[in-house]
Parts: sequence; C-alpha cells; structure tokens
Amino acid sequence: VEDKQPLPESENARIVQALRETFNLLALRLAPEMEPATIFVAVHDTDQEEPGA
Amino acid sequence: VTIRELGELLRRRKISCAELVEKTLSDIRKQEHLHAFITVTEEQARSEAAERDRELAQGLDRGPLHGIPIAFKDLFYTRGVRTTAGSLVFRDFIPDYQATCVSRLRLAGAVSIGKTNLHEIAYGITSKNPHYGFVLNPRDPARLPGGSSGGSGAAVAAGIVPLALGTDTGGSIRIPASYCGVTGLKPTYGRVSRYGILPLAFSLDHAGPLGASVEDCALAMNAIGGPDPFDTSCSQIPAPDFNPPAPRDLRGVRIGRPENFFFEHLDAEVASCVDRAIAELERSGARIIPIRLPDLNEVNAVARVIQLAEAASVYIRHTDPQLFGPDVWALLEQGRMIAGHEYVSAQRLRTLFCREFDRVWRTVDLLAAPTTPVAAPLKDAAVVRIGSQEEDVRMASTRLVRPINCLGLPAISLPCGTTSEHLPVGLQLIAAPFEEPNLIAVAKLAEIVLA
Repeated sequence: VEDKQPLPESENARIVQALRETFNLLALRLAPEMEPATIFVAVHDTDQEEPGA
Repeated sequence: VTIRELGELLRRRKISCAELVEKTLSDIRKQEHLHAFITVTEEQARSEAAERDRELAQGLDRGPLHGIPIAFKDLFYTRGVRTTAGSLVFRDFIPDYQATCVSRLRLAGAVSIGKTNLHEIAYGITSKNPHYGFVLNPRDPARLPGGSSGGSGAAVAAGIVPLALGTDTGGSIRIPASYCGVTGLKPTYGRVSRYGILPLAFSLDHAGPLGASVEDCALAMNAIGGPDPFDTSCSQIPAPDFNPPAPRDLRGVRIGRPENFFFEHLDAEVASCVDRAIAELERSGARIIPIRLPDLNEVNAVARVIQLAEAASVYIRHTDPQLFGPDVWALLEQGRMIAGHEYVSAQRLRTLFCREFDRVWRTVDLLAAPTTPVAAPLKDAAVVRIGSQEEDVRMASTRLVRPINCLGLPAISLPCGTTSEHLPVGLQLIAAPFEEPNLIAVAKLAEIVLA
C-alpha cells in the first residue's frame, strides 16, 4: 500500500499555478464576442436531438 | 487466442461455452498474482455459458461473440454485481441496473466473467490500486501495466480473456494497450454509450474495447457502438459495420506522419519501432505525408483544466481524504482550485482546437504516431528518462494520448514491435470523427504487415 500522506496544499497549489501559466496565455486568445456555441460540448455531433424530440 | 479462433472451436464443437468458461476461471486463478480482477462472477458465468450452449445446440447463434468470455472494467455498472470503481467509496455498491455496453455485449452472446481492476476511480495511469491490489504487467511483472484500464489490459495480455472493456478519459485504454502489448480502441466521443458507467470527466470520458487483435476490438464495437436513448450525450449517427475486411493494400490511403509534437522527446527505441511501422505502411501502398499539426501541448493544457474541474465536480460530495489514495486525492484537491471562468475558457478553447484540427483531415486520412513516448516504465519509477531529460511517469504516459480525448477523435493503439528489453511498443493511429471503419481497416492491415 502506498504512503497515505496527502500532498501538502501548497504543492497542489504549485501544480495548478504551473498549469495556469500555460493555460492563461491560451485564454487570452478568446475574444468576448466569440459565438456562444463555443461553450457547448457536443464536440463533433452537431445535430443532437433529445430522445423522442 | 482471438475471438474468431475461439468461435471456430465453439461452432465445430471442439469446445463448449461451459468448458471455455471453466478454462477462463482456471486461468484467472492461476494468474491471481496479476491482480487483474476485483470481482469474478463464477456462478453467473457458468449459468450464462450453459444457456449459450443450449442455444447453440438448438441452432440459435447470436453471432461472433456467442459464448466468448469477456470482462468489464469495474467502472461499468453490472446489475446485482458489485461495482467498486477501484475505490473505497463504492466498495459496497451493487447497481440495480447495468451499463448499456454490458447489456449489448451480453445480448450479442458474450459471457461476462468478471470485473477488472483499475487505477482508483480511473484517475491515474499506474493501476497501483491501494485498495484492491497493484495490477502487474503480464509482459514483465516489474513494469507498470498502464492505466487506468490496467486490469483489462493485463487480462487480455495474459490471455485470460480475448476482450475486455475499458474507459479512456486521458488515454486509459490506449496506455495499457501500449504497455501490455494488446490492441485498444478509443472511439469518437459520442460513438459509444456511457449510460451506466461511473464518470470521471463528463466531457472527456469514452468507453471502448481492449482486445487480442484489431478484429476483436471491431467485433466489440459492432455490439456496443451506436445511438442509445438512455445517453443523450451519445451521437444519433447510426452505427456502421465496424468490422470491414482488411484491405489488400493501402493504395490511395494518405497517412500523416506528424512533424511536430508526436515524435518529440521520444525514447529512441520507441521512435525506431514506430518509424519502422510507418515504413511498412508505406510499403503496403499508403502515401506517407509529413504534416504539421496544431499545437497539441496547448490542447493538453486545456484538457487538464477540463479534467481537473470535471473530476472534482463528480467527487464533490466525498471530502474524506482517507477514502482515497494520495495521488487521487491530490488531483481532486487540484481540481477544486480551478476557477469557474477557467473551466469555461477551457471548453471554448477546446471548440476552437477541434475546428482547427478539422483542417488536418483535408490533407490526410489518418495520423500515425507513437501511443506512449516510452515502453512500460518500472513499477516503482516516479520519472522516466528520455535522452538526457527526466519526465514524471504520469505526464509522460498521457502526453501523446490525452489531446485526442479533448478533440474527441477515434484512435487505436496496436503493438508494432518490441524494445531490446522485449517490451511492447504501441503504434497509435488516429482518424477523423466517426471514421472508425476506415481506422479499423487500416489497423487490420497494419497488424498483418507488422506481425
């Protein structure tokens, strides 16, 4: 069984901060006027219908 | 032994379904040290096998999966059978319904033999499960089997079952396929129902097969693929035949060899194996096209933000760190630190990357790349060495597969050779959305020419 000690909170924060440094640069590319459809996560199938619709 | 070979033995009455189940149960007992299974459903399997034998005797043949023993990652709900997700949280959970994938495979005649071990809650790649045992790699017990579908990969690699289902959120089918030397298919996002599968990250989770051959995976897809009224995230696009014959050659097929990302920071032996495989595909008639891809390091960053946030949401009610291994708890903690605006931005960026990647398919039909940058790491290694650089084992193992989840593309990993230490190397073929038949056809020929 592996060591049951969780990582200290500061280590988790450091890992997330490192990810943010890359990610925040990408997020700057997003213009506020971009179409709202970018948030919906259909990925490729754009003609989804609810069952029975 | 492949499903086709077992099917021939069954139909020629060389072996019965019941005998096949007994052989499988015996193999599980002999290889208990692998910790590939969490639950073995002996009596249920015997009962199902007897029924399949009766049906064959009466002339009722359900098709290629009739009487074939299979296993499910212990993340798939099985009615009346404990489903743990490899976690203490679900140690006593017995679902009262079953996953669509489970229902469909049983309807196709497959005999469920049990539930396979996995990385705890499918959140990791080592399959060193602190609660249900560390899964060993049958190819070399000193090495990781990969994960999170490590028990499924090990069960197939050890020859216990020809087919097992897994899930793939950031590579969890393809990584164990690569490290254990079997074939694993992650379908297009939405191609296979996720009804009755415990989620890890709602918009990145995929279900798919690990098999002893490409055809084994294709036969599984014929059972599980297609729309499901119980899963509204499942595509309405009708299922095609996922099991086309292997083409005689690859004339007219354009295969992209990425100039960036996939061949950077690779173990030299892995690079050499994959390039030899690509050369074989070219000898088979494929046109190999060097291609520059959108920056998949950026896609990886986006995918990690989404996965951290969604997994934290799934497990938001579970606040006791003692219920989780330290690695999993750390990831859940990290997920709780992702801000709402960061998650929204990640999903918007994802849409843009998907659109950008669509352009790739104007130039090529498939991409050929390594599945993992290294062969199976030693089981106690925290880092892998690639050239002069060290890289965290989890980050290295997921680096070449995670972006494909974010883009929702179908991808298959199949063995393409071994290193000097006899460790398998995985070739990853990636196709456009919903192009699984073409992907599988090319993979079948690749399997033949690489054998």
